[in-house]
Amino acid sequence: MMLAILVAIYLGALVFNLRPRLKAAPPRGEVALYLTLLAVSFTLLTMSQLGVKIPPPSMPIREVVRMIFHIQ
Amino acid sequence: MLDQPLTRRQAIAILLMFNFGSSVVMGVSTGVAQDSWISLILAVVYAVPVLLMYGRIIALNPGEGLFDAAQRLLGKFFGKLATLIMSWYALHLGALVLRNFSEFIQVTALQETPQLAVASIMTLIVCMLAGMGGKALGKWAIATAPVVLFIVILTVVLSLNVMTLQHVLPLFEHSPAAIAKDAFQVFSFPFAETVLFLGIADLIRPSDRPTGIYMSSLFISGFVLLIIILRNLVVLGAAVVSVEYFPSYTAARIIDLGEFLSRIEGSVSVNFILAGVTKIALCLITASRGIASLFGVKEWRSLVLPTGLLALMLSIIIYNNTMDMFSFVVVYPYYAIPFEILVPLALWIASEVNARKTAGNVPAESHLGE
Repeated sequence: MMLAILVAIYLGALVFNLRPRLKAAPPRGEVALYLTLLAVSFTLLTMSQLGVKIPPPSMPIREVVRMIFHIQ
Repeated sequence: MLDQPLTRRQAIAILLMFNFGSSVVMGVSTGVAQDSWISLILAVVYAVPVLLMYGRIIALNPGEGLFDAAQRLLGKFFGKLATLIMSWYALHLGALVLRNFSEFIQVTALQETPQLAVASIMTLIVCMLAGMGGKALGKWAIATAPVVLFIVILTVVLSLNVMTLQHVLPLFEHSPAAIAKDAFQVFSFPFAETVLFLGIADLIRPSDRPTGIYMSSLFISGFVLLIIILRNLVVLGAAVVSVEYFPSYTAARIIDLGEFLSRIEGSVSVNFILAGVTKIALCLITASRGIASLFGVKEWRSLVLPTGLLALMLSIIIYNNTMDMFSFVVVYPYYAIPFEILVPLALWIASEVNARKTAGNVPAESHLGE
């Protein structure tokens, strides 16, 4: 169910957000950046919804801070 | 599309709502139990010089946002590095608040609903607001800040009959060092997070005295958070406050005025939604502007939705569970030091040096001209 919602959100982004902007002929780099950001978030969200364990970014942050400041 | 400048009241309202953000529901740090209100006052004192520094940065770089100023003053490499660092912080903070929101909804109301569903709805709404720009955010903040303040006052007044003033005693049970350490936590969350307001600093008119805007918002939000802390303390007691994830919500649940006014806790959720939307929207605007500046994209608004979805993804994967989220609070003040103090400090020093150079050059040039 969540996967279907995800696909709907991203399709919506492409159709209602990106497509109207393409009419103004933005630079190709801008479109590439847009699509890259979308692809990264979509891939990781889909993986997390499929039950793939993605290491949380808070873990390395915690480790680095604990190492530097010696906090418990 | 250029944004119109913010009025002074709009800027203060944005900062107020930003400070309330998750704090109106999660409360501020409760590490020193009944002394937490003292640590809040101390945190306001800590925040004064830092927020004056933020205001000074805006005053010294009129019409420039954080990223433009960084790249002009720190040079290309360090400017881009500062942009990258601050964009990450904006994205991360947006994701943290989004996660707080989805956790809150799941814990208090929708236990069976996946967090992604709740967070997606919030993200889309916030993207819509952020995409309209800083001026729209200012208008939203002006419209919603009175609602939040009214609900806080309402919950205080309605809980008068369940307050036990002895709950704030004994005073200074914790050592000054423990209170000072706790104050540092409150300083970094939420007061110093207002560094992200520098992302829309170009919308502030120099005549509006940016330092004054920062100070007004600090004192008003400090006062309101003090009321919230004291309300939670006298209604719940220090022991309950320290074990509750959302003490304001629990305090509001206790309100029961006769037979006709109960279940007032929903109003606290409204506060979280209104203040949370403002906070996430500002994070998103700053992150989008940062990413746009980093990659040389002229129209930052085109990146709001992908950035919002990136924050959504981050909010889902950032913690394993609710306990993980609350344990990160201990690490957060140290993690935030580079974003809240070091990068702004570098920018402030560079701004002062540049301002003195310019001031020194102007009479010399005009003299040569003569």
